[in-house]
Amino acid sequence: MELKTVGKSITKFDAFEKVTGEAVYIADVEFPNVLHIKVVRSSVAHGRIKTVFTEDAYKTEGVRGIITGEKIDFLAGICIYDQPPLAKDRVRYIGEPVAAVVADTIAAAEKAARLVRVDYEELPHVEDPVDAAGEKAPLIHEELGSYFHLPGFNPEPGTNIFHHYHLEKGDTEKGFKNSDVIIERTYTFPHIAHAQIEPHGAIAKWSKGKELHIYSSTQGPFIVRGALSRMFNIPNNLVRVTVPYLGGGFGGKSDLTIEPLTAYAAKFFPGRWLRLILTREEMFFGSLIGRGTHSHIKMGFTRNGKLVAADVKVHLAGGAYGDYSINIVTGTGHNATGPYEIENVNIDSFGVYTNTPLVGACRGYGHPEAHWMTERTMDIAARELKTDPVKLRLKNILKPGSENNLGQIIRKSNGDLEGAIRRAVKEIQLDKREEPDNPRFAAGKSIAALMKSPVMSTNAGSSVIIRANRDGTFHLLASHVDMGQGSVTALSQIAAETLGVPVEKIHHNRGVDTEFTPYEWQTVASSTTWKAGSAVKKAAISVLERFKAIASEVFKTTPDKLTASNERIWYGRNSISFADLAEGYVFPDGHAIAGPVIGTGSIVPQGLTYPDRKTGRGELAAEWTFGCQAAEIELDKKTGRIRVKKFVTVLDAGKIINPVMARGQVEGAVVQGIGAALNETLIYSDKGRVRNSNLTDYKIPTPEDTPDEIVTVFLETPQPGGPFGARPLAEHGIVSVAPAIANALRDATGMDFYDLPLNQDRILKALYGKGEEK
Amino acid sequence: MKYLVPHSLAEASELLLDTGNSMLLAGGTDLLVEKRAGRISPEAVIDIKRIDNLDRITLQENRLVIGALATITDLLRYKSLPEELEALHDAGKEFGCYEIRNRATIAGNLAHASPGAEFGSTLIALNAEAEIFSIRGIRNLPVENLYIKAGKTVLERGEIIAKIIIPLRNNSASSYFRASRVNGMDMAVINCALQGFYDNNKTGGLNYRVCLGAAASVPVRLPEVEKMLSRIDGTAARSSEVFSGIKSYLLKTLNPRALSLRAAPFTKKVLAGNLIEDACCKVRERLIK
Amino acid sequence: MSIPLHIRINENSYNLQVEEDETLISLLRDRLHLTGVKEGCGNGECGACAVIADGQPVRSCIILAAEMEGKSITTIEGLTETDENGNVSLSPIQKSFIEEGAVQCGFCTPGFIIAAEALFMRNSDPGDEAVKEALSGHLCRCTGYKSIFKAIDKTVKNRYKT
Ligand SMILES: Cc1cc2nc3c(=O)[nH]c(=O)nc-3n(C[C@H](O)[C@H](O)[C@H](O)COP(=O)(O)OP(=O)(O)OC[C@H]3O[C@@H](n4cnc5c(N)ncnc54)[C@H](O)[C@@H]3O)c2cc1C
Ligand code: FES
Ligand code: FES
Repeated sequence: MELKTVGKSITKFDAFEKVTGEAVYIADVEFPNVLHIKVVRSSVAHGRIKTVFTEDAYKTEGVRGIITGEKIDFLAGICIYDQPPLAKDRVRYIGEPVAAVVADTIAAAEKAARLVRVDYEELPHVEDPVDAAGEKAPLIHEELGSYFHLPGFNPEPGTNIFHHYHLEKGDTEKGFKNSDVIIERTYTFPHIAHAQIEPHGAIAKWSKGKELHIYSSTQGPFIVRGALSRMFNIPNNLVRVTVPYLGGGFGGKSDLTIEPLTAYAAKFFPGRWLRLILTREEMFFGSLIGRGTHSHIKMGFTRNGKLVAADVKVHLAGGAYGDYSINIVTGTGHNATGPYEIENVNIDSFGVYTNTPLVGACRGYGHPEAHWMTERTMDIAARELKTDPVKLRLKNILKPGSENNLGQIIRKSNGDLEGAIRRAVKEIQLDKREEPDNPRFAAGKSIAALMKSPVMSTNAGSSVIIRANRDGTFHLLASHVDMGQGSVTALSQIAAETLGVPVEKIHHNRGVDTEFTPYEWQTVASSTTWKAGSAVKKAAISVLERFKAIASEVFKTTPDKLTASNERIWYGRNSISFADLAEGYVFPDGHAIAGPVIGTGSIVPQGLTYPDRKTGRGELAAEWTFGCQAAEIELDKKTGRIRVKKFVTVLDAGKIINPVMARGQVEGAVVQGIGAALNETLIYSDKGRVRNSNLTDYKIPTPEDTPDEIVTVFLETPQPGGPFGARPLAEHGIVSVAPAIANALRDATGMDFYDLPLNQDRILKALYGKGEEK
Repeated sequence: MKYLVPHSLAEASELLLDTGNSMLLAGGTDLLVEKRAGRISPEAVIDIKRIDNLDRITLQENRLVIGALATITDLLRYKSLPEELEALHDAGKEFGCYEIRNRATIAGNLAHASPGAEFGSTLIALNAEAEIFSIRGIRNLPVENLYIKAGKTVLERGEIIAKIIIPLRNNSASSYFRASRVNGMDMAVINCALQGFYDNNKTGGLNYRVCLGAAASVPVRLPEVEKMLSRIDGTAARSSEVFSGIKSYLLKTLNPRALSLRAAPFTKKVLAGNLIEDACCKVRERLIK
Repeated sequence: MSIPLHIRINENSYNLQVEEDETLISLLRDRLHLTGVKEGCGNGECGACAVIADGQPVRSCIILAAEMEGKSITTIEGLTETDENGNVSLSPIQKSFIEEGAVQCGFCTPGFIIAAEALFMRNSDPGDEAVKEALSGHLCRCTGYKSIFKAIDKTVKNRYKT
């Protein structure tokens, strides 16, 4: 069947309002009678709150209240309930909310917030995850054992380990015994910031003491709804979450962030809207941050390059509360050895409490952390084995019939990893060497393969509604959050294609409102087009079925005798237009049947399970997307700076619903990945304070930093379960950027790096330091 | 906060003296950032942008005079910039971004006294002077003597940098280089301005003035390095000997702040040597051309 | 206390009273509700708040409203034209941004478009270097910038076709 809409680069439905400035984001939402919140944040990384002096602050003109955590008697959370919305007795990181000053204007709130004085009894603090997991570390949560958590997680009370994911397959001891070459290395990926250009915000109001309405720039309105409903013990249907246009998420606005605090403060001012918009500075510690892993890997190969054993330990510095990174621990764990088939595997992945801001989802979700070690190690192994790194990879990759770490058997429909690797090699012209004319430069090229699965709850459902209108147009209602990835457009394309109508006839809601739009787990894990898209397809089919059912009454036949095409339902050569069926059919004499048509579609990922308690294996991944990236770089040895000249990404993402938007996702991810590879890192002071909490010293890539050439290739092995054969795609472009660049740097200079970012400090020290200085 | 708009330098100076905790406002690209971050809270800002003729850049007989309100964009657009002052152009091109350059003034850049400011090191290398106006009198001060420490100059209350005067020097050339973390807008990790000149009748070899920014809490001249550079005789062997001498000298003597967010001390020291080398080669190239 | 301000914004004249420490961004967003002007950082680093003041692009978060006495400001809202029937037409650069997929989350978009528009005002045929210069200091976390450069190139090319 020829596709009319899917596969075409339809321009974004919501681009018009964005280029004209009409689009309303959280900070643009205005209300009468609004009050402003300024958060007083902990200035110590770990301590007991002795006293909070608010008298002076109260005297500030315009101050209406100062809320502290004293009376809070619940903990917020999704997977593990470990965090109060405002610190209670104890602070665990610099930046933790201690009090919320509420005032008529933001200026008054800010002024008063500076006058709130908090006295602490300081406790020892720890930032490094390996130290924090050790026996001597200060305990950050004594009560860990009493926290509620969902099944599938494994906290170790009495330590700072809030989740230990263990996976074993085969017999690693035997595996290493049979290895001829063993490579053992340690890698780190520092804490980084999402640095979405839009700061996070929330605006909340209570009515009647039991109804809560909150606007938030969240990626997970239903997650927020569920959590707030639980926290405040009010029914789901009395918590309303509205999401306006969202200015970039990358995971940093997923799960829960500032909503519990805003809602809690608002409770004291019933009937009034309380508004909290984070400053840029607060975005570095008052919301979520990303990554922060220390990983140790040992890989064993036979002489002829067969990867036979891997042993991995990952410590993730999850921050002071573990709820938002707990799933990353599992994700990094089972992906830790990359897209390879290994008979004997032992993986221990630890989520560790640290006295730092909270780690949450961050574009890539465990996969960049994992590939940073695996894809570097594969390169190093190839050298030791004196073989070609491409060949070594091809020899060991997961292919149809292979069994992955989880025990899943890879099918052909999972995608063509070998094809992706070969294509990336070709695009980067790996065999062609060009030495720079000027000896101050060194040039290199290399590749890094990748795989990614959407890490999600086993019941991460999606539902959509399609309403038919009497002029033959349709409303598509869904609750995924389009933060620029274009899901509003992509899902409309899927609806249009399934219904057989021009895409212009579909109108998709902008923004989300849990009051009106149907349940969606949350917009993360690159899963919307694939998962919600399947629900859209179902809903569209159910609309067509309704149309046929009504038409069958008109034609006095059975629905199975009818067909749909050209926006009509056909019975032989007779037909009725969709328009005439949309609100039920009206016979010439005026009598009507059936009533308005709506279609619904619901899905849940098929067959996901919790990991087996002993082996950590099971159906943890619903789908896989495979690919390969390649970098061509040039190092200026005088400045220690790397320029990425060309960057190639080849992904088998199944059917591409909208090529321009898909490419946009990959290009954005690649450049964000280049930022993390070359520059980005949060810098902590001795005291545990983030020192570079601004865009002046947290440098993200600028227009001049984008590579000369970004090549994106999609292989399109159709995914049987996905809508029109689509597979998850979005974050994938970031997964192997760092190892591709570091491998290319090795190619250029012979230097191996294990820590990110590859900034001037690291490179110049390696070039000129020779151990003479630290 | 008060917002005051003087129409003459005298009025501005008087306002500065009469109003406690007051600050001049030029382009505001430092002042507003500091204010919003809560690092300063002036009781009054004195916006000098409506004083006439302060934004002029004029070429006089043997000097270039930059008015207090001349922005970086004004400088970059200035058509008659003498060739020997090309370092000014180099620095302007590196500075911030287009939109910042439209507002930021060169005088404000000096007055704010951030250690890595583009024009601190550049104007010192070019041997510039600031003409400092006050209703109590006018004084001229070499830019080199302007700085006390990061963020602090010798300017006293009521004093305003009215002009920056850059002497023209026959048989000279200049250049400016900076190291930064990204290709686009950034603050200097370290910067280097360098002037090379022959003595009057071009008999002796080349002499140099070298100034580094962001290597210490104020821009620093490097007399020892200047001496070492003057031993370059144009042969490749001598050059490489001199530069490696300079690099080891800098590794030993420079002492950048350990806690810089932009780079570790070692990085800065290495970069300083490399930038001096680049800047010197550029100056020699410009002179020979 | 407040001071008078005479200002033109998107072709409309205003006689206002502004607070001494009111920033231009706050005047535009909070008071005149021109929320197309975005605040991404508040300290001049991201460009989301860019507006055109007397033909020059500037960053409204680090300018006091009072400094704009007598000036003429254009914000993103001022780039579209509406005819007598209420039909809105986009400027060529706005169109190219849509067509080239240069808009993702859209938060940086007003700033980039303003920078590009100001570029065209001063240079009708900008080359690559001029485009780079105009966009420098504008941050986008979504697109990776390639599509933004494409959108501007396309606008330049279209101008010369027609
Ligand atoms: C995004 C961004 C990027 C930047 N990039 C760079 C860069 O690359 N390189 C760089 O060097 N700087 C940079 N800066 C800093 C700043 O732009 C410069 O220091 C600029 O030159 C300051 O000039 P101004 O006119 O804006 O000063 P203002 O902010 O108006 O004033 C700065 C200080 O100088 C005082 N002052 C102003 N004029 C005078 C005068 N005539 N006499 C005495 N005192 C005076 C003021 O009272 C104030 O204390 C950047 C700033 C921002 C926001
Ligand atoms: S908000 Fe003004 S530059 Fe970022
Ligand atoms: S489109 Fe999101 S920041 Fe640029």
